[in-house]
Parts: sequence; structure tokens; C-alpha cells
Amino acid sequence: MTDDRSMDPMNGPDRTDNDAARDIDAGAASPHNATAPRTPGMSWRRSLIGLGIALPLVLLFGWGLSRDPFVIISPLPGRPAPGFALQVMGTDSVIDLQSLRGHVVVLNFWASWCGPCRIEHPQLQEARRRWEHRGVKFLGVLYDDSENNARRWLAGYGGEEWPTLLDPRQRSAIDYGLYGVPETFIIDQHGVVAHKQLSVVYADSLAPIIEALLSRSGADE
Amino acid sequence: MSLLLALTLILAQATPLTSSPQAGDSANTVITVQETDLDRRARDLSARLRCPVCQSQSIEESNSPLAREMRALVREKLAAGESEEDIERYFFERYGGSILLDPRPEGFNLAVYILPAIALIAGITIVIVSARKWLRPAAATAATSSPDTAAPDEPDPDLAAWEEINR
Repeated sequence: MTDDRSMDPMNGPDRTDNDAARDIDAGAASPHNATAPRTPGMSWRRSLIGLGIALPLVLLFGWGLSRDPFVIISPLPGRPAPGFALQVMGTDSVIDLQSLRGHVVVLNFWASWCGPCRIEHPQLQEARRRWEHRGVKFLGVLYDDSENNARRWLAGYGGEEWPTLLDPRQRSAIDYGLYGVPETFIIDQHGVVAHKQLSVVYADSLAPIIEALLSRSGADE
Repeated sequence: MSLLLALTLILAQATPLTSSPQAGDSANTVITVQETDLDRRARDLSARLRCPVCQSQSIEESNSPLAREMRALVREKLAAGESEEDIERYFFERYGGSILLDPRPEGFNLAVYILPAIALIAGITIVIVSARKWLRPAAATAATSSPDTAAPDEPDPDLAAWEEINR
């Protein structure tokens, strides 16, 4: 009896339907309920209120907690790609994004210390084989890494197949809202970000995006 | 004999040691650096930007390489004359709303500002309603039992329970 009183969470907002059921069961025995008899209608109202409070909370937490807080959804797709003029590794030449207008650009941020980049690089090589002859430009941007490491890493994949740009102090990476590698941006012929791929890109998953952009340019002409 | 030698060696070593704190003091003179207005603005703004590779840490607090570069960028932009709003917008346009530690009070974000107030009001209401309920039966029994002199020592179940717990 005393336990039933002292442990009673009945007035809390977190009561459940089980509590309501127990109310009815315990109704005859409990002295508390004897002094203030509760009608079944009252219990129903209470459990409805409880449900009304609990259900939105459960849905809110269910939605919030099932999201990965490490994933940042980029606001860049659909907006003009941030411009850059970066030095090509191993040369004195500079590539300006502006000069690539009219081309679909695959801009891949990577590093030799990045594990997933090892899976990704052969995929990018495959993508280059598929689309470079159709005017798609491939560019790598080295993220927080040394040139020596990058060159040695690329040698392991048969050498450089497309220019690797140097981004001292990660200014362009921050310009693109980068927060890890690999990240890849598909920029359309008008210099607008068409797609951002977090983590590894696969040639097959790039296909619909790049094909759509290439066919669109065909329609423009 | 060897013990004495060891002792003198220790003492010989100890002599320079005792004087070393003074030398250390002069070497570790505290240098006070006057914080400039730019320092303060850069620090305040960096504290409002969330480090994208951390959890609930500002770029001011984080020691990650990315946060370090972002701090430097904030400072550079301030030094170049950009306003705090410009720089916040720069990061917002690249990293989205999650870059701001204080969410913008618009759309779904409003829940963060409104829900705590609603929860507080609801909590106070529940406490008041409950407190009234707790007080009412006691007042009611007191009113009914006082004229009934035949049973003045009617045991109050609540009181009995309370005494049971506090025995």
C-alpha cells in the first residue's frame, strides 16, 4: 500500500497506457483511489493527454536521433560553384575554374591519408575513361597533404591522369564547405554545382548525373 | 666511504638545483599581451561557429586542423574589413545552418526557442494542478471529521504512510 503511494508517478506527464490500466486494476485496493474514486472516463482522458504529449516527443526524438549528426547537407547544389585559381601540382601553371565554362567538371577533394580515397580512385579513373572524351573535365584538389605523399600515392595507381590542384591552407576546401575527404562536386557547363557527393563516388552512380548534364548541353546547342 | 662520496655528489648536485627556481622564474616571466579589438572580434565570432568535424564545439574551442584554418580565415576576413554578418553568411552559404551554434530563429529552428517555454509553462501548470489535488482531500476530510466527535482519531492513510516512510 505504502509503496503504491510513494512510487506513484500517476500525475507525471510521462504516464503511459499501462499506468492507466493499472489505475483501474488497483482502483478497489488502493486507499488513494478509495478517497478519490476515478471514473473510467477520467482515465481515458488522462491517457489521451499522456499520448498527446508522448507521441509528438517520440516522433521528434525518433526523427532527430536517427539522423547522423556528422553529415552536413551542403547548401551548394543549385548555386554557382565558388571560383578558384589553383596551382597544378608539379607545374607552374594555374587552373581557373572560370576557364572551364562550357564543360562539366568533376572536382574531387582527396588526400593520400584518406582511406576511402583508395576505393574511390579506380572509380574516378573509370569515370574518366567513360566521359573525358565527351568533354568532361576531371580535377583533383589535394586536401591537407604534402605534394610528396600525393605524388607517391598517385604513382601507385599508374600516375596522374588528371591535374591535381594544390590548395594551401584549405581555403578552397572551406569555400566548398568541405569537412572531410573524399568529397566530390559535379559542376555543370554554366558553373553551377549540380551535385555534391559525400564520401566515395562510383562511376555508375555518377552516370545518370553526368549523362543528364551532357544531354542538356546537347539540347542547349 | 662510498656513501659519503655519494652524499657529497648529491649535495653538489643539489646546490645548483636550489638556485634553479630563481633562474626559472626569470626565464618564465609572464608576458602580458594586450588583446586587440580584432582579436576580440575574431574570438567572439569563432565562438559562434560550429566546428564541422566536431560535436558541439566551436571552431574557437576545437584544435582540429580544419577549425584552425577556419579561425585563421575568420581573422583574415575581419582584418580585410568584412563585417561579422558577412562572415557568418559566408560560412552559412557553404556549410548550411548547422555551422551556426545558435540556430537562426526561423522555420523548424523556432522549435528550439519555443518548446522550452511551452514545456516550462506546462510544467508549472502540472505542478499547480497537482498541488491543489494533494491539498484538497486533506481539507475535505478535516471538514467532515471535525464535527464527528465519535471518531476524532480516524487514522489518515496518507499520514500513516508518511510516518511509515519516516520511521
